[in-house]
Amino acid sequence: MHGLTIPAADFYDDLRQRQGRKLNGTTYPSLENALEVAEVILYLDPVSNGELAYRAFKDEEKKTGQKLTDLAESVRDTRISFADIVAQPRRQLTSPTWSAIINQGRAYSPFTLNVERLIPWRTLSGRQHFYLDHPNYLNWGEHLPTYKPRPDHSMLLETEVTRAEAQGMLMNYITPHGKWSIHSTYSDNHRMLTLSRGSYPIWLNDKDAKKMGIQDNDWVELFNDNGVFVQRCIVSARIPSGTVFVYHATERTVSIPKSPLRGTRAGMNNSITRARLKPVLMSGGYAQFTYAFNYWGPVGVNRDTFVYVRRIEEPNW
Amino acid sequence: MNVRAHVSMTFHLDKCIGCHTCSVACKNLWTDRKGTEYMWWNNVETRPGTGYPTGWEDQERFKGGWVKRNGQLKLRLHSRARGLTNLFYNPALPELDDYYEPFTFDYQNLFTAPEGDDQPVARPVSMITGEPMNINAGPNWDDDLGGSNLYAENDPNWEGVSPEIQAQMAEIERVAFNYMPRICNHCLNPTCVAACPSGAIYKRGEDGVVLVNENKCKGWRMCVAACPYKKVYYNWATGKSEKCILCFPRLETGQAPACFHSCVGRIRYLGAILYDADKIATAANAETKDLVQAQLDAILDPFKPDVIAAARAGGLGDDWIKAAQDSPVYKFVKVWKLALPLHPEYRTLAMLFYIPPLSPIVSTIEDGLFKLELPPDQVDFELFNHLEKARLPLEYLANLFAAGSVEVIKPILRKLLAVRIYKRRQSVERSIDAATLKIVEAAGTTPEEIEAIYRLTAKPTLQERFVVPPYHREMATEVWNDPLAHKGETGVGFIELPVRGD
Ligand code: SF4
Ligand code: SF4
Repeated sequence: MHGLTIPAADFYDDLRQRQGRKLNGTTYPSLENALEVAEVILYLDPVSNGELAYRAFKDEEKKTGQKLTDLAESVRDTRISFADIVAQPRRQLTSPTWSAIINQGRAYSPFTLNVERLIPWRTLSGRQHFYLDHPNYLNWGEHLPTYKPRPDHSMLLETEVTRAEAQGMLMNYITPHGKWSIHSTYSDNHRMLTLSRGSYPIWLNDKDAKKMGIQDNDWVELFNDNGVFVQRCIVSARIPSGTVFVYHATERTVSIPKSPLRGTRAGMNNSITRARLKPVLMSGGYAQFTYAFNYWGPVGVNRDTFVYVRRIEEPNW
Repeated sequence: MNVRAHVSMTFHLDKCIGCHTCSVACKNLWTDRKGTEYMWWNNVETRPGTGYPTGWEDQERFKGGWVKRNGQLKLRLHSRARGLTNLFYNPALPELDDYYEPFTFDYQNLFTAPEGDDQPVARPVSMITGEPMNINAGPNWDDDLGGSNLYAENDPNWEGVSPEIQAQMAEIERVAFNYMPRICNHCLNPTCVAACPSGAIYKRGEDGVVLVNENKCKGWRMCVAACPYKKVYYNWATGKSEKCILCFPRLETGQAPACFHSCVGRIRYLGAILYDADKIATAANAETKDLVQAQLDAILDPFKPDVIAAARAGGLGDDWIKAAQDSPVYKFVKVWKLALPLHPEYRTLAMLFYIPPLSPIVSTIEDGLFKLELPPDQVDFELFNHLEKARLPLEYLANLFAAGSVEVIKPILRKLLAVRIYKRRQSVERSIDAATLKIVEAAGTTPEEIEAIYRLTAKPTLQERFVVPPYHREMATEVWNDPLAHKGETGVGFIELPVRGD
């Protein structure tokens, strides 16, 4: 992580002793059940094993020439086991695998390690920079963040087939982070659904809604060539005209009726979008553009598209 | 002077992020039982909006609070005599639809649905009938301006705000909203207590917490209608009324109430204040425009020797007097005069106080254009000198917190702005210029006071936000039981000890 080399052979041996499992004559740390996997993770991660945090800072010292081990000196003895976090929540330890200093009860604030302890930013220049001089970025005009107009819907080719059955209005569909959850945060629990609208509503601008004869809490169907989404809607002046939005990462298990248009169970927010690979994210082998799992690599750009929006009567379940 | 102590709260609305963590904490702790499904002792409302139960401020319909007739306070609900003759008829009661029909989901279907070619789903079902239902209301239905044309536009606090401004507030470039958490206000002159035919509701002497005695309550529900804040609820399973208890079991053991404890924005301040019980009647009877000031007059200065003497004479311990001196609520309400009771015109003398919201600030519309870029020497002062341009109209805030009096709201916003301008100047320019000092003076404050307000607003410790003295419950126990014997018995959970031979 972050290009650090953290020696951990002794801890690996400990694990072999504690939860060993023999395979072809060699003893390995067992990963047979969930508890064992959790213990291995906690024991080998610098945020829950103070000695490893110390060693990680040691390695970072070598790379940066800065004095850093003091950040982990006092916690070298700390080991947080699974039983510990069952008993009560624990604070994790400061480690260079993350970017914040959280010692002495300080709240996590990203990049405080870089700013306060002068660990260079992990870029070519070692600083924060906006300008990317990679030829691919230059060719795509992405070397500086600049304004780009909304693409024409015909460019996306996601409403071509549906056009034949088009009803309602063609609108820009976006799927921003939710108010009470992001990504896969568990949100379809009774409490949070009660405090919202008991579903994953479709937000519409009030004037657009009026044009389509849609009232607050009416059923609405969104569809395009990719799929269909059916939910109740919230009409609100805080939504820009021409835009329809659904907070992203909805579940498909709660409150999703059948689509009147397609006859089968309607989808979730991503059923009407399509993953597209962003070409510049496939450039690599150059400074910070270096592939690392969950850090840098091509991602699916699957948040926005165009959809037809129409009001429907109470759908079937 | 009749000095009493009160445990009060202040909500700093600029800090509330509307996360509803407080509501969830309260719900999990107190109202997750049969009969309480629809109750939210703590709820958070988006304003403008109509809140929960929807339209609760419409006292024409719900008949809560006091009205002044011929110089006398009367329950808006009914006279005493009518209350008795109408014991079985209470048309002002909110109905389930005013709250919402509690719902859950048929999660079981996800496991038991017969095999088919389509994915099973958990449908909404009523927690009352168990039947599939259409959800059309909830305890936070107009969250974030949801259904703004139905709810935000019908917020009764628009009264007196010009139609042009109201129309602008419905335009995306201009919309603004803030969050307002609400619990029982533990009023000094509570209508819930006055309306109860069974005398089941009482205000505790030691800290002012208003409680329903569940043994005495006969379920008449007069309190539900009479409370103008709609903060007493009827439990259909026990047939009794229930309300926020300010987490008194937590207070008595030195812990902050659950809503306070879990507050993500750290917007809540809790502390003791001393008040003069002899002034309650005058304060509740004041002219509408003087209501806020009259209530402030009833709150006493805990540093004054005569107040201290009277407090001691009335049986208050020194630790309570000390707590009143350190109280963050006292500072916000009385010293800095930044916090106001919600809807003082209800005349119940609400004892929780709100610092009105300032954000979002500084936006001016000139020639139909949105203008954020002002000459640098004007940026800071633009809003200070033209509060009428604030996004949340002054009249609107005045209707919420000052019985409609803009003159009460204005100095508060000016002081809050002065704090902001001063501190921003300090951190951006690293110096305070004469123009800034002029603003500080115009806002009626001083650099020292600004630093103190800033400290308690932006970076208080828990000990500064939560100042409650020990309740000395062990002494109360001693009166009727040996504390050691009591200690050994508590874990067994008897509320009334079984008696041998009974
Ligand atoms: S807010 Fe609380 S104390 Fe005041 S009238 Fe309502 S229930 Fe009673
Ligand atoms: S927990 Fe605090 S910040 Fe969150 S909604 Fe409640 S009062 Fe506001």
